[in-house]
Amino acid sequence: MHEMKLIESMVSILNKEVDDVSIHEVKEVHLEVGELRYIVPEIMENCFKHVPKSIKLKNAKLKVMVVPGGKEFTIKGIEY
Amino acid sequence: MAFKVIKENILKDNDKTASKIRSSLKEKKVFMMNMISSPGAGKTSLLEKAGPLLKKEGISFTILTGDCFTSRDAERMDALSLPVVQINTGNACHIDAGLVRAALSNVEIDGLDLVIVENVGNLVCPAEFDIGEDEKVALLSTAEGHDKPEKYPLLIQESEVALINKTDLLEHVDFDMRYAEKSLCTVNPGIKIIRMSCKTGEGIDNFIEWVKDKIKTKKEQKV
Ligand SMILES: Nc1nc2c(ncn2[C@@H]2O[C@H](COP(=O)(O)OP(=O)(O)O)[C@@H](O)[C@H]2O)c(=O)[nH]1
Ligand SMILES: [Mg+2]
Repeated sequence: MHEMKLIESMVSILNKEVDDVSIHEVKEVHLEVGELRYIVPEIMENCFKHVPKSIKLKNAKLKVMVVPGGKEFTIKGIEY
Repeated sequence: MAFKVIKENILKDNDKTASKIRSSLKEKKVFMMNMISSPGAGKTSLLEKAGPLLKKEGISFTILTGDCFTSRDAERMDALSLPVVQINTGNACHIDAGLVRAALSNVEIDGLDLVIVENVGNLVCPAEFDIGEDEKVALLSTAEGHDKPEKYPLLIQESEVALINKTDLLEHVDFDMRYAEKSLCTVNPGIKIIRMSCKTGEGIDNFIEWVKDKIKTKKEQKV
């Protein structure tokens, strides 16, 4: 469903961001999602587990933070 | 442990494509509307009714119709000789900007006044994806209950107009028109509301007037 599509767009951005010699393994990805986007964080987190991605992201956890009343869809950053 | 700040909108690729579509349609002065409703609210029926009338008005348009797998809607419109391009979205529950760009590449844009997109039937996902349209149009129907504006506020906030279809069924369904219109205005105080019925034809003329007005405004815009 559309969570999957969103995760794919997110991963294509992340793949580029982790292409950086100082990053070996990403532990956590922080994503901010507005409440009005009707996202189910658990579905996003699950999709993220299963979608193909850079090896550096293999063990990363997706942390979805819901912003009350908001419309954002922002990758805040990565912990590595 | 280190942290790298990214601050990037995950829809940025879609939004970039949408901006490209928007600026090319701006240059050609083509008005594009993105019609969103739940399945069965009457999007195709409206196009079947309004299409021939738009033709009669001398408006040159094309319809892009989205469906996960079939081309049923496109066939319905093709039967009326309406210009239509089918967009199959597969498992995706919405049309995104890339699909619109691909569909438009099959269309002669020069000389066109209007592009109508019939999005995939769904009140949630299509509202998320900018496809380069000028306006989103929310289509509700009396058969689906009067509480939808409150349940799907993003779509209502983003829409310029709300069409309330199937007014011919009002006497058979528990649909509180005043409640629906009030909550539409609460969620989006500027929204224009048009009551209509694709069965009786009530209100279709108001929709046509709205479209004509929008096309006119677009033509007058400076590029
Ligand atoms: N009674 C009534 N039925 C309608 C009206 N508009 C559409 N329908 C019916 O609703 C069903 C779904 O319509 P359709 O146009 O396919 O909806 P879409 O999925 O939004 O494209 C069809 O059986 C239509 O004949 C209306 O104004 N009144
Ligand atoms: Mg349809």
